[in-house]
Amino acid sequence: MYSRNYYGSFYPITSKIHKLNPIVKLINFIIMILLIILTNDKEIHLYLSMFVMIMILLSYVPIKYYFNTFYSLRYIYLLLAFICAYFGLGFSDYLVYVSKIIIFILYLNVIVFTTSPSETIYSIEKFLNLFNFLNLKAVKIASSINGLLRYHPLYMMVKNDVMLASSVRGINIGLFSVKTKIRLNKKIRELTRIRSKEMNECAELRLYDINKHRTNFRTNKVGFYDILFLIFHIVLLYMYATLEGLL
Amino acid sequence: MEIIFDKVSFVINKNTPLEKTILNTISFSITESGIYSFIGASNSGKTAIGDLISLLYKPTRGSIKIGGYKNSRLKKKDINNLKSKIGYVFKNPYSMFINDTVSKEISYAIDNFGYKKESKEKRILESLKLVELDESYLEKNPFDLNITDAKKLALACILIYNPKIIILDEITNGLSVSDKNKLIRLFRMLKNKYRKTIILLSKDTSFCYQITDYVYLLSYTRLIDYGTKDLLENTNIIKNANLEPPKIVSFVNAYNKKGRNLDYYNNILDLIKGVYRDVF
Repeated sequence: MYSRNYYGSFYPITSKIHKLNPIVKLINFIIMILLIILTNDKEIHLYLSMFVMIMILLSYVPIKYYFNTFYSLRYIYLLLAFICAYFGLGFSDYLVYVSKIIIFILYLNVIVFTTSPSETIYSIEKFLNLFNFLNLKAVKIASSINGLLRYHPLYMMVKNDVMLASSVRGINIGLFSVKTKIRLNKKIRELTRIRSKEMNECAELRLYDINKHRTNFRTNKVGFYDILFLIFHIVLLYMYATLEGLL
Repeated sequence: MEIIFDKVSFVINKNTPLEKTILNTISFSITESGIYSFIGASNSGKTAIGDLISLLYKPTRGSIKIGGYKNSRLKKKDINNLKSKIGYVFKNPYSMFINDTVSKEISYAIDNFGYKKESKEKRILESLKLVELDESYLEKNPFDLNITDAKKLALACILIYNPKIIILDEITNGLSVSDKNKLIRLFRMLKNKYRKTIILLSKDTSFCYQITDYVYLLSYTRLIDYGTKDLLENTNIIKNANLEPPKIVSFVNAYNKKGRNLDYYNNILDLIKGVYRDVF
């Protein structure tokens, strides 16, 4: 009935980040993942954190949605503290590892909030088409990845719908026994899987092209901010390569 | 069971880019049983009224009083008590379905009320009979039903636990003329025999004209007029609200323009008799 936004769902407004080309967003995201895996350099992590903050502000998505995800990982931060203490790592190392998690999660959130499901599938497909020599099922993989990314908001939407549907029949789910709640949860997951499949089928219809070139789908063109952000990521990669002595 | 709205406003996604006003300072009161129609074009706020009455959402401003309980002073026990007295059929009946079979779907409402198995089965069959579905539907998947049967099933799911207030959102969408006539008979029976309060949220002025006792006219989130069903005979107000006047009213108005004096009838049969009497 009314728009409900959970972390992981597309936030339907217009902003500079919404207008970025989805393929460029994906390439930037992959470069970011490579950087946070390969290097522990504090300067690079600091630049990436600042970049993510700028993207969050430019996306015009309410900060509380980003904060919800950040807050939901509080036990991970605690666990990481114990692991670092166990291995005798210092506080600055702990901060670097925490920043890796935060950068990854917030960056992913920005991508998911500002890219529609059709665009997500389109960009992943286009990217995987570079590896055609591996005979990958690009369409299926892209749909599966999109389904994984959108699973949580879909689950929350279905759960909300089930609660509403029960509520209008005078039923308060909170009063159910544990056994009934587990059974209901199983039902909700089943309905979520069906909805996810329907969502992918709708995206498939939007992207459909009999010649497999996807020309029917018009996505955002490559603009000034696409090039600017891409250059930023390439510069960070260059920094990493220089630090490691690869160049 | 009374329903009183006092300067109620409802805004969603407040303080975000997606902020939207759904209802703007609506006030009305329903104190007796009967059939009440909230009529308005799309985005006028009809569904929000149903959501607020059935306690799915709280208003942003104003107060709502249902059955003696005021929304600002409701405790959990009161909410549960009230919800068992209100039934709401969604615009999209499929979004109400959770279970794999029609029998489980209908009994979902009363599974937790401690009924014995035999009386549960009896109630399921009675509620199916009320909406003119037969036993062959019991093992069907609700999601496989066509829209007409799905709406009937959604209504059966509500009727089984005998609520005092029944809210129906766009119940006539996708229904044929014969199905609408059957619904009219059912609602009249529920109103006269069981003293229910039936709230119709609809754009279908023709259907509402045949059956309603009182009309509330909504336009762009505001309540612009209310009154008995004679309000639907005022074609200017109806057209200003982006609605189509009831077909009977349009016919009678066109007929009377030729110097005749035909009354406004409730249904087409009475209209035909009236025309016959007038002509002969």
